[in-house]
Amino acid sequence: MSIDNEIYGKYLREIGSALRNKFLRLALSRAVKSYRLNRNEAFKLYPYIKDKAERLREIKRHSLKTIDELTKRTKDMVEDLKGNCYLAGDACEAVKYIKSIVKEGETIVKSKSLTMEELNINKELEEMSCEVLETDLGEFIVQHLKSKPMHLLSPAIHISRERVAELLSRLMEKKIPPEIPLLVQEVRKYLRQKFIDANTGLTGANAVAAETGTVLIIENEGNARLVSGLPEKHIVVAGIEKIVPALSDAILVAEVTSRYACYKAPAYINLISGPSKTGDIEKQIVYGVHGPKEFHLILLDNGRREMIKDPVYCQALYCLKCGSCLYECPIYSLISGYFGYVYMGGIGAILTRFLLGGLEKAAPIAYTCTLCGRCREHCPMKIDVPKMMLKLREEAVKNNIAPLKLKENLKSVTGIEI
Amino acid sequence: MNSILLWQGCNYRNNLEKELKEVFKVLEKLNVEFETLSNETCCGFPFLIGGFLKKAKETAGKTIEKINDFDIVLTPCPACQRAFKDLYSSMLNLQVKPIVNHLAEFIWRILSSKKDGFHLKPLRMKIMYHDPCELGRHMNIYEEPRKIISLIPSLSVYEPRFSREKSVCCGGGGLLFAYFPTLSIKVAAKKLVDEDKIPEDLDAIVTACPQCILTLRKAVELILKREIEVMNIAGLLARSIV
Repeated sequence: MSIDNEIYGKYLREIGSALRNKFLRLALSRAVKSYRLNRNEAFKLYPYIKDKAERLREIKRHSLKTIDELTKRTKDMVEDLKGNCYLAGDACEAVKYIKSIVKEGETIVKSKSLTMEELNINKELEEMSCEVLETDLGEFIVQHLKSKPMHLLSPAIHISRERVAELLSRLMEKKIPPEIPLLVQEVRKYLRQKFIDANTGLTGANAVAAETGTVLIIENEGNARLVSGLPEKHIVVAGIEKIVPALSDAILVAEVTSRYACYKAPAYINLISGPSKTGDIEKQIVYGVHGPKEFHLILLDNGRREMIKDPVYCQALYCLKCGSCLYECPIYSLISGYFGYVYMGGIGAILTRFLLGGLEKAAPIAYTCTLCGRCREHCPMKIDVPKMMLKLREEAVKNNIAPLKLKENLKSVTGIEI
Repeated sequence: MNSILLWQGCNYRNNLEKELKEVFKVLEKLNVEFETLSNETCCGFPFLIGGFLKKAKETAGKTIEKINDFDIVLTPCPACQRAFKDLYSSMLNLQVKPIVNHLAEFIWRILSSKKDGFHLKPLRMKIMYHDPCELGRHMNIYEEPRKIISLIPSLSVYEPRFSREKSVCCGGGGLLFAYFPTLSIKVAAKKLVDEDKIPEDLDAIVTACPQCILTLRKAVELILKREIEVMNIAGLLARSIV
């Protein structure tokens, strides 16, 4: 097989079949419509959110510039609070660390985290005979259907209620009708015991406040509270770009992220600083009360420092993963996560290049972008994705992996051989 | 007297000959004296945005030699315009001497400076103006095409719900039309139907970019299967100007 076919062939064929998928089109257009309605409402209620986004952009810029100091402060604070903080250079180191904490055969509950996808942790833990359960409803569905998450916030955006009903009927060994509230109740019932049985909870983080060593997790379902609250051990995996100086900055991240993800207010904002503790008996501090006894924060580099050093790509680390660019992207709104690798959409191409997949996975995404700049208009952080796409394409050409078909067609349009 | 070059662009020269004639007609009606180059080649824009920077540099160098003797370079292609005005310098560190104008900017300047010197006859049709990404979001030109359109009597203009900086891409940008045309055309169809929600009685889509014309035209023909014209702003003006 030629390299060109290896890099572009399967990717383009999958897009081809996504284009013929009528249900996907319907599901996406419904999702876009309701996203826009909610967003307009949220923006009307909070008209000053754009100013806040601008302020946050400045904080993010400054945080990346002072990342070494912030990382150190975070580690010091977490340890001061009797938590553990591990600086992982790459995915391998992070996996090794997690495997050193988790024991064979444990039950592990997870809440949604894209960063954790970089570790491929489910597979790693299953090799230790652990039962790993996604608890975010969408992720739960996607995990059990062995499908691929197709949106940052709504991973099961491409799956119909009928398919979910089939799946749950099989799982619970009884007939469950395709009524959405019922389906939700069934998953709640199924997972309840798992939360209680779980030895370890794995979460990501939306922000980490260096000043107090606090992890912030935004959610609506309440699963992250259970994942981070019930098991004995709580492990957080966060990219170093999530660190901001102060708790108030982390709150600003929560505000801006949820507004642009079109929630007026997320149901829960979890703030976690170290393991649970009490000093109620003779003022002697004991760790591990109702919440976890162990708290581990893994701060993951895995390509991020390389990005920070690059004046163009660096901005991609401002991304809050709010998903607002995706709904407004002409390509994503047609084919969903097929426009992407694990990280999706235009911004996903840049994250793919550095964090998960490399240039060979990023190039096909970069060449499927129309460079229209609509994402930049809708991004709270004003990330200049088109500019980064040009740089990715330049890298693809330098590495001799630009699509052959494009070269041929350009020759026929311009009359110039490349 | 300024020397003016009409830089036509590959897409017009190769794929839109009728539209190019309309550009000529409008400029002549407006008494603009201009030249074209018999040896015009690609400006390098596709190489610039495709990542082929070595090729782009070579092509841009040759292009600059050809256009630098003129005072004004005028082009109906916003991609060529952006290459000259922005990308040559930001990506290749090359400078272009002449003033570079998109056709719409140029025409509007003339129309607004001699308001009584021409006559526009009414056009009874309903049109929508589509903001090309290259002209709008990338070059910040939204007003001039609309002002030109507003001068034509009897014209009914449909403004889609997303326009100007929120305008939805035709699907042909970023070389997608050359890389994956099926995807391009589907994006175009979705844009017209779901995003712009074009009305039943729309007669024409007017735009200011040759790639938008080609992509939207294909979608109208192959997917919408409707009798909607897709034309350049000069084409619209050519019909009205006496």
